[in-house]
Amino acid sequence: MVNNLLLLVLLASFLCAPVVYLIGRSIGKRVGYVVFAALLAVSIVFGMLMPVVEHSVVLEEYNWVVSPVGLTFGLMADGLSVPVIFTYMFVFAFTALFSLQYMERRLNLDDIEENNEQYARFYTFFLLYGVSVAGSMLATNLIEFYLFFEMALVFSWILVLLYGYGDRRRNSLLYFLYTHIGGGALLIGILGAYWAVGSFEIADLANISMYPSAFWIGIAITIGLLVKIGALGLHGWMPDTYSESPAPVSAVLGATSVLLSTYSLARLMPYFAEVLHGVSGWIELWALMTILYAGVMAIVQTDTKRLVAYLSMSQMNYCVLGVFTFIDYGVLGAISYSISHGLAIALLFLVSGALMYRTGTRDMTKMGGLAEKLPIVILATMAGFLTIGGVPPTVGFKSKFLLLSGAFVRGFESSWMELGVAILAGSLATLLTLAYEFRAVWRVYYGKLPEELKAVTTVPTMMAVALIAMSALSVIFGIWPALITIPIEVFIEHIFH
Amino acid sequence: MFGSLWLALLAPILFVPVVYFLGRSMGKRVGWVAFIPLLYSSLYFVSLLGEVAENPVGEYFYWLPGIRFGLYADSLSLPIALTVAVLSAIIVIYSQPYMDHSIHEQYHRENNNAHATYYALYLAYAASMMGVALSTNLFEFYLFFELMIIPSWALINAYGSGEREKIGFMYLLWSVLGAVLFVTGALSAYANTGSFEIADLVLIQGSPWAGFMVATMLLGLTVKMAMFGFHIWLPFAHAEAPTPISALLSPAMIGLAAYAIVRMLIPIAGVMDTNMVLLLLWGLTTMIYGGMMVLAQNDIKRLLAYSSMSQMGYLFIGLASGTTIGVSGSMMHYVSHGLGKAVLFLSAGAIMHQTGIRDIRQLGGLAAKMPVTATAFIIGAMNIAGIPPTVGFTSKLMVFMGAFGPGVQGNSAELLIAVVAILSTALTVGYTMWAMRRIFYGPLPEHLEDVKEAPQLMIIPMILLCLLSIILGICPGLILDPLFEVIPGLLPV
Repeated sequence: MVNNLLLLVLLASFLCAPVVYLIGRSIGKRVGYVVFAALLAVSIVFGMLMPVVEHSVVLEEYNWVVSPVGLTFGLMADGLSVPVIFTYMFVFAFTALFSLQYMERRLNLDDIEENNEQYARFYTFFLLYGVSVAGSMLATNLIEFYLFFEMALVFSWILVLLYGYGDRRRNSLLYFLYTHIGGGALLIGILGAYWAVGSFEIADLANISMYPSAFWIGIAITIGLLVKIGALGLHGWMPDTYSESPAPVSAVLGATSVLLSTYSLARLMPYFAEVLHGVSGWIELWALMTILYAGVMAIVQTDTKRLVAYLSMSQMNYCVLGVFTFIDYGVLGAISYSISHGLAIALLFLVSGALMYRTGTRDMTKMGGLAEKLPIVILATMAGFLTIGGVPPTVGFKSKFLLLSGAFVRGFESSWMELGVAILAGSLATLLTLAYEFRAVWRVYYGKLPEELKAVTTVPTMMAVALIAMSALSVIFGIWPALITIPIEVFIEHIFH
Repeated sequence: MFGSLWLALLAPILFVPVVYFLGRSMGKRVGWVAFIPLLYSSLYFVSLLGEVAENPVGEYFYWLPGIRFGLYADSLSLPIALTVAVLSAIIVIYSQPYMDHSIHEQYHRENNNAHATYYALYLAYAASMMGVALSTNLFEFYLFFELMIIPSWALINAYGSGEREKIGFMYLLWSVLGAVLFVTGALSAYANTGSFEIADLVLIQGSPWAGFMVATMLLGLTVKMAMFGFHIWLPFAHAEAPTPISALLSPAMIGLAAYAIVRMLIPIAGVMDTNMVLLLLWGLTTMIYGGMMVLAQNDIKRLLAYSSMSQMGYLFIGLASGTTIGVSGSMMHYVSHGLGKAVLFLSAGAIMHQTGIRDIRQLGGLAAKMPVTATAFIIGAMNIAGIPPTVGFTSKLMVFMGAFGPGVQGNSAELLIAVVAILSTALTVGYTMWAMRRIFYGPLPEHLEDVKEAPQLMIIPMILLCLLSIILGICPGLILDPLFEVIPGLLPV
């Protein structure tokens, strides 16, 4: 294998950005295919790394800043990062494919002028966003991690600002402020960790629990990441940003929230397991409250994208619950649930985009009977909903089951509160989820077809391809879960034993 | 015979995409393609019937590292899986004329896609029921248990009658409620035993949490069984589902929960056996309430739906008795109710297909016009009512023998319940015979003058099911002898 494969992949994809911009200015929207190919290639590289990380770790280190802090620029692919990045890049690639027709429609609205320049910009920032997130998942030290984390924030903010609907300046500002404050908390944690252990290396956090400040460092990092995942009280940005962004942007925002936050929690929190064990039950409870709150909010939505936004907020917090059980199956379940969720939430945002593309509305009360008209879209909806609801044959089933079994083990080991959280998360929250999901299916796809939707035709080919590819991946992982679980188990073994 | 349990289970699943894509061009005839894997599964299970009593068949593989999935056929699970397979194979034939008619009614045109989707969902549904019967692992059991919900919801939602979307939604919510209650208990058990194996469930015996775990799992399963209090969904779902699906939903699926109780919960000492009176009373209430409600129905399918609820009361009494004969009788009653109720639904479907009427008040005198359907209905009714020579006689007798066991040895409450239960079987005989009279005898209304017998593809499945219930009625030992070998081993000592 190539010695500096990860660096090459990362550099090459960053260097794609100017190329995409320049080509885009002349060929316009077709540059989307270039971005699709580039992202898919990255995804395939990580797919091929999957068997490798089942028994080893790919680690590359470069000197970055020699003195006085001695920073290295390291890239590491292990059982945790490879499946996550593979899925993430897969989602990005097919979202790019989906966006071809969607963005054309978006750019033809009054508030922006459609031209090649716009496509060039959109795809450049889109690509940069994805690659930055991948960078932060490969980082071996906290500064590098934070750098990519903030870069991702900036690029996504630009996407929301330039291409959002409604009051996009306000929404993007809200998004930026919230996430940036989260980033600030994260930075406080990172710097605290540096002063405690004297290094930015993630691996050096292993001894963090010896230091008295470890508790507060852990809390700061947790808060920083919980903003990103929309925990109750820190979620102010989420519904508006998600629902007012163009569908492809919402899709990747959703996937990033869940995958990046869960990845970071799973990467960093086990080091704090000892010091945070006392409060982790309360964090689990917090996650449960978010799940229930957002679940109830989802029931009352009539707007498809707001429904998906609340659904996403609700279900993402299962990952928080799983990680903070600090039980092997809980963490394993959380990571694989983040993969299922990332896949499904992107799929559902694209579905709502496809519905809007064909029906011109996001209002579920104006829809009905569309199952006949949009067969591929209803299949994708079902795949997405079943994945999120944890129903077989999708990957969501296995993930949620493992996550909950971890939560139950934790519940019986700890106190009544943790047990109560496990029971409610397994029963009430699941019931609630399936209730609003199937109610939405009923409202949108069954019942009477309104007169004005009689002329709806099936979705364009590229959109259909994107929807099918993502649904298929969820089912493939669902039937053959070992594909992603074995690498993650290697990581879990490593942190728990 | 060539094959393995996995193949028997996977064959219908592998045929799902095949049937879907062929169906888009073949239309209704794709039902025959869907018949192939179901026939294979049935034949394979039949071929095992002789040997499993001595050598239970178990096949295992690791789905995830450390989590072993298996299929296990012993003389308890095999008859259940076989019933499911045989019913689905026979009913898939019946589906062809029936669904052709109802799809025409729904879309007013040929709709190949609708046929394709129907048979694809049908196969997924049948396979997941077999999976439930054969699972060895709680994780796996729950997988099939949940998987069962989705195709059945889709079938009700897309092909049902009346307010199908609303009823489908209601069915889904109740089913999920059952599933999440079950999983709460199952995961608690895992947290205490550290194993997902069903065989290891007995390890929770004696734990202070055993009551909680058994109770949640039991409640979850009784939602599926539509026991009194959890029965709200059943009359709606079973009445408005397309008739072939009602014939699977009603006996096969809801009874699977009873099987699961026997497999998982009965072996755990100290919960179900110590609350026997309560459980017997619950069974009795279900039985009588369901039976009373049958008498109040005028819709032919709603009538049968309530009768299923009432029969679940019998199953529950048998297994709550905790005696070998009662539990075996309960499992036997699963088989006989499966055959009997399927025949009843199919003949009700035949009547609806030929007359377009499902209101009993507008029917009458059909015996002369539809003799085969009438005969099938009688045999099905005899089966449900427990009249020889049908297998229903044996199974019902055993349930009551079982119920008397603790009654005679124990206190007067149990004896009283057993006596009331026996007396109230008169209700079953009453309502089936009364329905018979109202549908098939009496004066023929004028609007039914031109009614003809149902098409052959509908009649043959009914005849087959009737023959099976008589054959089993004459030689119940085929299933019972092996059952007696396993059940004592499952009862707590």
